[in-house]
Amino acid sequence: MLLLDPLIVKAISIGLGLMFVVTAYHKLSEAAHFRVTLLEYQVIPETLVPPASRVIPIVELLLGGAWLLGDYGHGMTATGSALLLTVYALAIGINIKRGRVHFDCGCGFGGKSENEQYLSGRLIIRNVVLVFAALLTLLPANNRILGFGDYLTLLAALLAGALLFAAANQLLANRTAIDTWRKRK
Amino acid sequence: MTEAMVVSNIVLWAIVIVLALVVLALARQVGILHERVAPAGALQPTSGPKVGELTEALSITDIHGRDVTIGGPSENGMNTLVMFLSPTCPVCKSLAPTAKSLARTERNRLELVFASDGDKLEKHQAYARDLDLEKYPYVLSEKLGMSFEVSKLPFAVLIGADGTLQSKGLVNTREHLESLIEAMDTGIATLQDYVGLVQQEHDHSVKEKAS
Repeated sequence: MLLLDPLIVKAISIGLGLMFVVTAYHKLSEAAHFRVTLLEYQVIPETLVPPASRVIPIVELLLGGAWLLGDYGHGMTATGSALLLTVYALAIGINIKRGRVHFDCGCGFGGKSENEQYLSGRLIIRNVVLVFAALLTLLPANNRILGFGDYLTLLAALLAGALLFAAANQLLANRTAIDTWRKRK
Repeated sequence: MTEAMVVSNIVLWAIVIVLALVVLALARQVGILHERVAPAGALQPTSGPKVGELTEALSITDIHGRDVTIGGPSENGMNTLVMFLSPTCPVCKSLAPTAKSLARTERNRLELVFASDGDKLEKHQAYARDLDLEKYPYVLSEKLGMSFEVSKLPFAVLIGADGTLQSKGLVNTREHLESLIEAMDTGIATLQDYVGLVQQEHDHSVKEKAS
């Protein structure tokens, strides 16, 4: 049976860890903005929005921390992350179905708050890709000891990955911006 | 050998990171462009027939010897885009292929007709051949230009399937041409009207909040 190289697992877990920590920081530092976003999604009762807006960033922070520390909790971290990302994708899907797409998705993290990104089906695809990445770490890996060179590769891969992820996000936002003035069926 | 591989790996990673940076920068620039460049529309003259008016059907024989009817309710339910051009107008030369490409993308609801005036038939035939317009009707009619009060070229007129004038204007780019179709689809004649509409809605909501 083909075993995954530990370097791949490491790269995915640190990448996802950084992503969760950054999004959590984003949600905590702009708490009011996040409450509005959560309200706009209209998937949880209004009275539950304030507590949920506190709990979600904490869950993200915990997941991010676990990924970064390499604490996989017997697959709990991966399944938990996949679950959370799936819930986000579902919330986006429900609102696209309702036709409510003109509000900030609250998913363009790391960017400026005025850089709003509307909902689109492509965001669901993005989340599905992330879910797959998270679940990939559940596959058995061999126990090769990572050396100095591996850590350099890890650093370079993370840097390139983060830049490409940001570029992909920007392209998604561009596409949605174009769609707002060109309604083609 | 191993040393060469290590060096090659480092160089490759450096290139990958620089490339990723370039891709990100490009994507951002495209995003900024979309924010800064507001949509533009065709310049609509105030003279001539008004948008929404019924156009008069005009039967003309085109330069290829085919009979063409312009205006009035259409038999096959197609909209008609009449593009006025002239061999002496430089912008027309670059816009004719654009009009053709637009007609191709909208081919299931739009018919393209080129129009000009003058009596030098060979000159127009050579012009149509040069620009590869022979597939489309090309009419020479002073009356057609007069009826829409075309004073500047390139000018385009969009006639709906029901024979009413949908939009018209001086066109210089593909965006201007598309704005005519957009005007037909949305029912809003010009960008100015649209801004006015948004302003009105805004004023209305502000008043509602104040009361």
